[in-house]
Order: sequence, then C-alpha cells, then structure tokens
Amino acid sequence: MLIWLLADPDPGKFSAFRNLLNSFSTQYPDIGVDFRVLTRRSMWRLLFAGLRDSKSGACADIVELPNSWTAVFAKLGLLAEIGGVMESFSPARYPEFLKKGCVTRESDIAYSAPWWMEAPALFYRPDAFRKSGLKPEKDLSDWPGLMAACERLAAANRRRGFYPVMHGDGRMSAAQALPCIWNRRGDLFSEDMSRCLLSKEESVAGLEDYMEPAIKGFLPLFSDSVLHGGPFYEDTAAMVIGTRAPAAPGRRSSFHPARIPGPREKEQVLGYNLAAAAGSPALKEAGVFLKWLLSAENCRSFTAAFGVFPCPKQALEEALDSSRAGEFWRKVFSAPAEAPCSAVHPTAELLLDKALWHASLRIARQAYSREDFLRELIIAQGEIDYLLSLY
Amino acid sequence: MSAENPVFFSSRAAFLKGLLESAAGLLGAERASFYYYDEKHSLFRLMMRFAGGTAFEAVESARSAPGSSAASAMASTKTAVFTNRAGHFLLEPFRIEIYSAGAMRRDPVQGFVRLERPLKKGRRFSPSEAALAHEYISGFLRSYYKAEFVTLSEKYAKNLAAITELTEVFANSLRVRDSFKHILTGIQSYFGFDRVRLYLIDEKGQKLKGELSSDVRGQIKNISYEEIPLEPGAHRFADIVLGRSSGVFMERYKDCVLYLPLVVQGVTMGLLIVDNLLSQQKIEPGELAMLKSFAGQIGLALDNVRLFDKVEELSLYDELTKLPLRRYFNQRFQEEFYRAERFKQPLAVIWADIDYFKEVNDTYGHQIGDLVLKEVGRVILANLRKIDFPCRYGGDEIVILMPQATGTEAMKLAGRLAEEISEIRIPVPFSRARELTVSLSLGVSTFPADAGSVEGLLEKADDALYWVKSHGRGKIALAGEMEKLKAEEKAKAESAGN
Repeated sequence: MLIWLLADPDPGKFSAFRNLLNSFSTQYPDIGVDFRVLTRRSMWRLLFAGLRDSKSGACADIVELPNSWTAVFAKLGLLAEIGGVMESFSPARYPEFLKKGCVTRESDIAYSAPWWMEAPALFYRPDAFRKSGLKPEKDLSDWPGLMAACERLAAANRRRGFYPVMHGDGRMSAAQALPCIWNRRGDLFSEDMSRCLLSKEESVAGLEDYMEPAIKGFLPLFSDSVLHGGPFYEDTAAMVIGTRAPAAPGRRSSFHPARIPGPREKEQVLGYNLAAAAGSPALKEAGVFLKWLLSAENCRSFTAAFGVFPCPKQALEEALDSSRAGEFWRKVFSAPAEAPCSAVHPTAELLLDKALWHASLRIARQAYSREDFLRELIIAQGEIDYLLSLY
Repeated sequence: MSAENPVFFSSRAAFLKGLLESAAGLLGAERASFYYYDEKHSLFRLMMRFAGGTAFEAVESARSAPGSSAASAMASTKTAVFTNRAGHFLLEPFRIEIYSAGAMRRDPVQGFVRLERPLKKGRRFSPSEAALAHEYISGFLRSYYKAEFVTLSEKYAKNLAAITELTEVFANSLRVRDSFKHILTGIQSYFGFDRVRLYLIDEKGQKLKGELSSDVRGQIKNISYEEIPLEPGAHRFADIVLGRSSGVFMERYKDCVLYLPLVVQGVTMGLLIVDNLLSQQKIEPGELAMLKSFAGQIGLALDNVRLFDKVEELSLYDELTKLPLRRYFNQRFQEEFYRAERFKQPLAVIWADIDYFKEVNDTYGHQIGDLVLKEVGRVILANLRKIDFPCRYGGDEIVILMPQATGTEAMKLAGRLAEEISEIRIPVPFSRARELTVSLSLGVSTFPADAGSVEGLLEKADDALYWVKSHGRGKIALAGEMEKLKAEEKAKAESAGN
C-alpha cells in the first residue's frame, strides 16, 4: 500500500510518520505500507494524472490532501467514500468547521477524514519589540499599526540582513493572503459561491495590504539564506508571518504568536485530510490503516513532532492544553473560517498563488507594477467565473 | 570511503533519491539537497532533499546574493565548504548537458548538491572529503542522461502508441455508430485533458453547433444545446473559426487551452477545444504538436462521418417528405413489435392515404403533387412523439408506427393529423380555385387487440383504410370497430331494403 504525503518545511513530519509506520507494521505485519513525499504542485499534477489514467494504478492508495481539495477530487471520482473505507468513521469526532472540507458541495457524504491543521499567524520577538518601544497588543492591532511597527524596527536595526518581518515560506502565498483580504471585507468567492471576487476593490485592497511590507522593503523575498542552512529568523527578523513558531533546530522558539493584524471576524485554518483512492485495489487495508492512524493517540504524537495541531476534538483539546501558546491558538480555532467545499476553490487558490508568485518575483527584482498585478487578477477572476459555471 | 558507480534508475526522482542517499551515506552527511537553477526566474529551486533517512520533495526558492558561498561556488564551478551557525556545509556545483526529443540540445541544467552536518555532532568537511564529493557527485551526475533517457523513451513509446491507435480510431470512425464519441474517447485516452469539446459548423454555415464534450475521466456529455452564430464578434469561438480571434486572449490561455479549427480541403468544418483550465496544467509542446498534426485526420474523420450519415440518410429517407422509406420502416417495425411482445406493451399502426392524390397529379401536375406530399410530411413530423416512427410506404401511402400507444391514443393522433392536414392550402395560381385543400383517409390497427403479427397489423390497418376509402374518404376507422361498423352498415342496408 502506498501513501502520498504532502511536503513540509519540517522534515520532522516524515520522521514521525516513519515511526508511526514502524509501529503499524509491528501490529499489522501482513499489511505493507510505504510512503512518498510530494510537493503540493506535484501532488496536484499526479492526482490529475491518476484521474486521466485510472487503469494504470498511477495514484497512491491513500493521499494526504489540503481539505480544500476534497470537493474537486471527490466530484471527479478519484476519492472513495471514507465511511465505506473506514467503518468507524464519525464526523462527530472533529470540530464542526472541518466538516465542509470532507464533503462535496452537493452532498454530505465524506470523502476524506481530517488529520491535522495549522493556522497562519504573526510571530513576533518580544525582545525586539521591547527594544523598539513597541507593544504587540497595541501596535499589532491593525495593518497600519504593523506597517508603523515595521518602520520603527527598521530604523532601530540598521544592520545588513535585518528585516522587520519575514515570510515563513520565503515568498507571498495565497494561504497567508486570505486574512488580509478578509480584513477589507473581500473574499475569493461570493457567499453563494456563484462568482469570484478576486479583482473586486475590497479583495485587491486586502492583497495590497499583504504585499505592502515587501513593496516597502521591510520583508525579503526569495532570501538566499535558505541556500546556506537558513532562514535565520532569530537575529534577522523581528516578526515572521507563518503557521509555526520559528526556531533553530533543537532550540525553543523565542517568538510569540499574535493574530495577523486586522478587523476580520474569522481566522484562516489550514486543514489537511487523508483520503483513499476509489480505484485502489487495497481499500480494505487502507481502511485498517486509516482507522489506526487517525486514532486520537496517533494524531497527537504525529502532530507534536512538527508543531501543528491534531484534528480529533479530544486530541486537539489535549494539544491546546499542553501548548505554550495554547490560549492564543484556542482563540484562533474558536473563530475559524469554514473549510471551502467548492470544486473550483483549489484552482482559484492556484491562480491567486500564481499571481502572488509573479508579484513576488517582480518585487524582488524591483520591477513591481500594480497594473500587471491587477490585470492578472482580472483575468484569473474571469477564468474562475467560467469554471464556476462548469463545475 | 569508496565511491560506487551509480546503477540504472527508472526515473528522474529515483535518480535524485539515489544520488542524495548515496552521497549523504558516503560523506557522513545528515542532510543532502539538490537545487537547480531556474534561469527564467533567476532562482535556485530545491528539487529534492534527503534527511532523517527519507528522501522527499520540498519547496524552497532563493535568489543567490552576489558574493555568497552559493554564488561563488556556481561562478567558479568549484566545490565550496563553509561552516555557519546552522552547521557544516559542502556545495558541489554541477552543469548537465540535456538532449531533448529529436536530440536537440537544450540549455544545460545547472545547480548544486548541498551536504550538511550538524554543528554540534558533526565536523567541517575536509579537503579530501571535498575532493571525494566532487568526484562522486560529478560522476553520478554524468549518468543523469540515463534517467532522462528512460523518461524520453517512455514518452516516445506513448507517442508511438498514440499515433498508431489514434490513426486507427480516426480511420475506423466511419463504421462506428457513435463516431464522434469514438473520436473524443480516442483523444482523451491518450492526451487526458481536463475537457475536450467538439463543435461543428451546421450545413448552412450559419452556426457553430456543440456536439460532444468529454471530461478528464473520459465521460462523454452531449452539448447540442450550445449554438453559436457564426458571425464576427458573436462569440470567441466564432471569431476563431472565422480567423478573426484576438491575439491577446489567445496568448493568455495558450498554456492550458488549445483551439483547433478542423479544416478539410481548405474548408473549416468545426472546432476542437481542449483545455486544462481546472487543473491549470500546461499543455506540453509535444502534446500540442501531436494534436495539431492530428487535426487534419480528425477533420477528415468527421467529414467522413457526415458524408456517411448523408449517404445513409439518402438511402433510408425519402427526399421529398423527409420520412423514412419502407425498407428502414420494416426493420424498425420488427424491432418494435418484438419489444411490444416481450414487454407486453401496446403498439398501434396508422395507415394513411392522401385523398384523390392521383387526381391532383393528373390535374395540376407532379410539381403540385410533390408540394402536397412535402406539406403532409411536414405536418406528420411536427405532430409525432419522439418514439413514433413514420414512413412513406409508397406513392401517397404513409404508415405510422406508434410504440406503447393504445387504439384511443392512435385515434387521437390520427384525428389531429387529419385536422391539421385539412388546414393545408397549396397555392395553384393558374386554377380557378386558386388553392388546393388536402385531406387524409386513415385506418388504425392495434396490438394485441387486432392482430398478433407484423403482417396482421398492417393488413388490419389496410382493411380499416379500405373501409374509409370505400365510404367517402376523409375519415378515420379503427380496425377493432370494423365488425361493428360492417354490422351497422348491413343492418342499415337491410332496413333500407325493407
């Protein structure tokens, strides 16, 4: 049986998964399990390849998916009903907001099971804030406050290589941009999911907020520190926008989490699910493995290894109780945006991500043009609207 | 320490995994990463990493800063060794010549392999280790072409199979019932686009009509509800077919949408559209070239299908009334009768005769007679249910087969036909009457009430028709009522005789 896992910046995820597989093999010696790690892009490409050539067995038996992908691959017939694979699957085990990430828009049948989740936040270094006379509660309450804080931090740290704020993944991305879009009351889609709102004034304003630190030079893009074992957040940044507290290997993080500034009423939660491929010849074994893997105990030990949160309610409560910043994360998870369940959502994310990738490249080359960015958003919106009419 | 020669790898991913695992093992590195240089974006991009005993794909993109260790190693193409707060590092730059399809040389792939040891537990890479790393990694990478060769050879094999089988699909499409479906399925089974849509220009050249669409899993959908006026500016597709498409639009979508006008002998007959809009995956240049090369064959196959349909239509349908001919009707009648018998369903037959048709021909000429037939055919086709099957049985005789219809339902249709046909007015300017009216005589028989065979049903309907014709024409008679009618007539005659 083969499992495809999504790539992760923390290799701890794969060590932990390998340990779990070893335990599983001890308990179920007759079921052989192996895994392969794919980037989000490779996974997307290979899942479509699996759809195109379902007879060749090109798809894995079990796949890890961002929960926003469930709807499209279930609709296209790639995923098996999870209740049919895992007899004991119960949606009641999971927080309500994760439910939509398991089903299609047309039905309540679950095609994937929640596994782990994380949420973007702004991690700040209290010592750097203190030195610059900044107070996170006050100065990080809205976006202009964040920009003013960037200015003060930049003025107080004029040494080469220091940036007030960094991105966890080195560039601007759709997942991190959404909170800023919501701050301005924009969104990817209209409430009834009939239209894309990507190039609407509010959404554009949110995206421009998100890009402002990079455009003004407060945030580096494609930093070369990764080529030399970095990024070295500890002394090169006062803030990091990401999903996990930045820390040097084996050391405790000196960053504290705060909300991504802004008046929005919901928080972005990125959920990752497990699903079985409908065409798998090993669905019975997949059911046994999923039931075992998704137990509260295994979810807790797995997620603790790379600093994310388990999805089962009981395991989540325990993880929040034992987390240093448990109260902060509890607040985030108490106001979550529901997982999207539109078949077009992943493509919309992909197109927004592409636009932000192009913008990142242009900003890094100091050749950013607002017109180019807007044109890309308008075309993307047209394309998504067209897809909405089809899927 | 020793360096073994790399063995054969089945894919690029397997090759990189083998390289990183073996290099890390040979040089006692905790991690090994493979970065390539993306020249288009001036970025170093991580392709694969080996850490904690696992090789995995990962995402990292970085611009190399001038003067950095990475930049220096790339510029000098020499092994670089350095230590910083993250650990001990060794960078081995590489440059691989790549030959693509057709043995065309592409730009070389450049990048570096990075080996890491932890700061506390590890030690700095020594000059002898750097020399070994250089020898081993550059030697290993010289075999990169093997992995590329496997990928290329797989691609060639796939293309060859596609060429052979698709050519057969297109050539055979003439003989298959659902030819268009067959062609679309053939395209999808080899290319696997998110969607393929086929539009054909109608016979009058006024519309682009949707035919079929196939999704990524090869499921076919009818799109005949899509009709686009073939006028400049009416629709993007119309502009493409008319050769007036906007370059800006085409440029934007060229990566994941392909519009393929289907041209046969210089005449555009339709449009094939393939897209990867949902997956946003680029249509590879190889796929594009191959599909373009097939466009002629696809067009020809579609043209053949249309011609075949036309020939079939001519042999099965009456040109004047547009009604099927007797040979076709007989075949369908057998099928429908078998079905009615098997599923115990009713079936009705209407036999109609145009009143005084011979006199119309003799008095006004065959041109007017043809007009009458044409109008009668039009009215009949307009009034039937989808499952009814009419036929020009011969001369002015028309037979209508009504599956699943009772005598009452058949009588209702017969009545409607008689009424609408009586409203037909054929202008005859050279006659005193100026126009001609038409009427029908109709006989109806039903299964199982009137007969238990095809021949029996026709005979009974003909009997009923004969009764109408011998009783003043312009009426309808049901075979089941013939005995009653005949008895009434007999009684009437007897009472008149008395």
